Amino acid sequence: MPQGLGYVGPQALVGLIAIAVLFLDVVFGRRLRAGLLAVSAAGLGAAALWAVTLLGADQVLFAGSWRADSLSMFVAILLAVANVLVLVAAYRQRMIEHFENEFYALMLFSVFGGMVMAGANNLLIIYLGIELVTLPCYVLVAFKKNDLRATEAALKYFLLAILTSVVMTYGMSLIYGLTGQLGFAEIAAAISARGLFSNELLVLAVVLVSAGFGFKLAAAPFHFWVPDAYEGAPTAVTAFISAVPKFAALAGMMRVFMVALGGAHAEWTALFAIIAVASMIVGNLLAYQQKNVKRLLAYSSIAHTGYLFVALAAGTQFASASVLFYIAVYAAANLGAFFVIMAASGENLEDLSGLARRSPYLAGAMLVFLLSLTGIPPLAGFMGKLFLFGSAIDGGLAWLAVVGVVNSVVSLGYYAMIIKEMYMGEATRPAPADAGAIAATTACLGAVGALGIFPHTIMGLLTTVGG
Amino acid sequence: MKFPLLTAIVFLPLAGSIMLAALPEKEGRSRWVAALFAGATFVLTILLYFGFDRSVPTMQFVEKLDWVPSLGMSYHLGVDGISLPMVVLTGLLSFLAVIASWKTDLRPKQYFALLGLLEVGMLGVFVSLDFVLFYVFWEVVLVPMYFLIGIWGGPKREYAAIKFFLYTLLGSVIMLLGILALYFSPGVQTFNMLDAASRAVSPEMQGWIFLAFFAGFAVKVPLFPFHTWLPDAHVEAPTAVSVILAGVLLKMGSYGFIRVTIPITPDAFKAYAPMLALLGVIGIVYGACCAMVQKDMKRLVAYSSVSHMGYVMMGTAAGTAAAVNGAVIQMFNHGTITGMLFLLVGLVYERTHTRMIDDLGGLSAKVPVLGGILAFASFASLGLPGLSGFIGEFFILLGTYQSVLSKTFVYIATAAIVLTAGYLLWMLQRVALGKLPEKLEGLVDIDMREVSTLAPLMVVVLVVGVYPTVMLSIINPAVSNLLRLSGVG
Repeated sequence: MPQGLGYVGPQALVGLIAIAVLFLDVVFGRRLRAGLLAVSAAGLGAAALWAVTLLGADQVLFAGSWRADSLSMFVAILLAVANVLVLVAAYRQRMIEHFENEFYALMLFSVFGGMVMAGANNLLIIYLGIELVTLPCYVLVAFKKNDLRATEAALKYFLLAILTSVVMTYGMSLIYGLTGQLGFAEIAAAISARGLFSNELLVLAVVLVSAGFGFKLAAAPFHFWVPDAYEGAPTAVTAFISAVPKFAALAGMMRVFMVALGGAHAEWTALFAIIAVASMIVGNLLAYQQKNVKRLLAYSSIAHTGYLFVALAAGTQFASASVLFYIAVYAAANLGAFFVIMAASGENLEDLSGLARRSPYLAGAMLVFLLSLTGIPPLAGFMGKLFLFGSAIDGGLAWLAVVGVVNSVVSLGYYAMIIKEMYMGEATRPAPADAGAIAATTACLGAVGALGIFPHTIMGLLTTVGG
Repeated sequence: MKFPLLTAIVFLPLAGSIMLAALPEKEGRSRWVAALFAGATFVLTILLYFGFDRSVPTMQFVEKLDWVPSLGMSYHLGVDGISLPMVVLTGLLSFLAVIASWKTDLRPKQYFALLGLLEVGMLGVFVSLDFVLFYVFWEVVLVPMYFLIGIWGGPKREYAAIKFFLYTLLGSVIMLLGILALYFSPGVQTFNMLDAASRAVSPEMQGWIFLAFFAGFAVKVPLFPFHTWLPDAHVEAPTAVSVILAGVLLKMGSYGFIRVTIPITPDAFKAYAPMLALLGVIGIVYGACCAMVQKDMKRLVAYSSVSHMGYVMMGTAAGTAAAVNGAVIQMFNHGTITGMLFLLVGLVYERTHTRMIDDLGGLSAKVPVLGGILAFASFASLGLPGLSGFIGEFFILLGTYQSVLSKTFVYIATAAIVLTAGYLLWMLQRVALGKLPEKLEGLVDIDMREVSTLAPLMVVVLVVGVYPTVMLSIINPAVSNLLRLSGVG
């Protein structure tokens, strides 16, 4: 095998496993339920480990259209780990009975698409990646075939996603029209060579492309699909879509904006700042009204995207590193929260009532996750927000950091609603017993603790990213 | 290798909390475990006190480990004459709080575990020499407090708990921005408190950074008008938690002003000192007047805290050696005295099931020990010479008079002592003297356990009042050094 292809090993492995899982069922029949989980998890684990070894690389492959570097490998690891956790948590869910191979294959294909997009060095690969990431997600959201809410959620997700994909493609075509290039380095060169920095069409293209990414990232004002999709989808799928498409889109966005459009920084800083403020405010204020915890967490996701955009607006190297650190931290806490909901098998606030008595461990874990999402030390979320807001101040956007911290305080209010219900409510439901979900929760708990006390393990390697 | 005494002090209560969480629930066991760990921590703080070298004005028992070297964050602990009294106070009050909570029967395991976690945060704040570490410990205090008030508190506990949490958190995150702004200031680039003090910050940045820290510290002191969380939090909290809240948590705010704003933003501090003193004096008078009209004993003591911390703030703002010495020793004294007062209010409530002054009376006839200690505490609080409260007040007033601040502050503050005496003696008269209501005929006097929570505080108040060198010899070198190095006062 040529040397270069070794660098795309982890990604290719996931793609192969995805195809394999689809066919394993044909070959071995329905007895293979645990085996499928094992194969998928092993494949994802191997890919993640392989990606760890490639973290220091910096190679351009496939005629300049794909890049193997720390960003693509880090995101690959994150996506793989997130998927493993979701698969473990969803292991016993009734909805996937008889359809395990489709369920696993869909998730694996989505992860594969995400990994592809994370290394994109070319606009076409970005588009390919985005579609590959989200197409399986539409199906996954509708996985409970007979559930009206799920079908409605999937339809909303699909239609709005298609719309924004089209809009984004138009933006990309404008960039192509202006620069005559699809590769990022070439686009950047063309922009500076042709003096396109304040060109109206380029600004329009920036806005349109941001719309496409913003949709996947659950940023306001492209967020309208998020609450319905998160609420209607089965919780395991909600956990998945709150992580995988989002992180993939983030990586893609960082590639496009830091590399291709890096020179036009001044154009998109203000745009990102507006998106940040809008997302934080929409997310934090509307979360208060929710009685369904999944919907509440959907709005909280929107708010967290806002915090990410605070750092993205700053655009510095440190900002890129802090964004990546934050999504790792956010993934641990957010996935953990969804896993607790799965374990407690209830998605309304009243279903979590008195969880502290029914299962002190799960309630404690949920407490840790919610506090991490708020940003309370010594949990990882605090370190994440410290870096995010620090990079904003460093990048000259101190006012944005002020909005960010005030919003963090506001967010405590609705997380406290859940905490209050768990600890001070009446325990009427039976004790949770879903081993898979509990195991996945434990893993997330460990991550939240470790990253809070030892952030430099990841930050060290991330500060080389985002060039 | 030297024994890391400070790390041991800070994290021993955490070990206790973890052990409590791990042990299965058994009748009465958790309080013994909690008492063991809190007691051991207190003993260690006493060892620290005796191991402290009074001739050295800089940090002692320093421990430093790199945390995130690329960002200049380190695990950096140290204690000097300003923090040592706070550490000892925290150790003492936390231990007494455990003893005072002996009869807790609602979820005792979680209760004592949370108390332990609270102690870790408080101790950590006072010994931290790295800003991020300081902030981490500062925030660690919030979550246990929320649960302690919200689960074990009075009728309006959930409201008081979330109000406390949100209010304090808002101030704290603004302070976080100040920390970040300090780090990114040209020429600073460090989270190390000692290094940051020696690197000059430009005057404009100083102004913003001071205001950011002000937001965080002023809420905690509590400085008028940011004090509105305090009455509800104090009244609704269970007795032992009120003791810790008033005794230690409030000191975190004024400690922050002395430890952080004086050395790091000295020019801004001097510029804003009149405002600080003004707010302090308003707090003195406002707190005293509010205390005067309270019908609830606990709320009266809560407002007296606002009033007393006003003296501390005035002394801090004055910036002279005498005033800041007075402020630090008053922080220590107020902790012990108000701790006593809250314990006494709790004892009265346990027996009579009321805190309303109108429903009480003639206690010293029926329960003379309780009444006598209540009188002692009231006299200490109003600053009777011979008891520790006088020492702090005296030095604060003297130092403020000698400072560049307007003498009017001193006149008002001195006159307010009469107000303080007013509400305390009036409360004493209505509660301890007079006619005993019929409902209270069957009152039982306080037993040995309850006396044992009060006696150490009484001894400390008396000793410091009669022989203040015991504390001042530790405080003075550090304060003089701090003021000299930062150029304030």
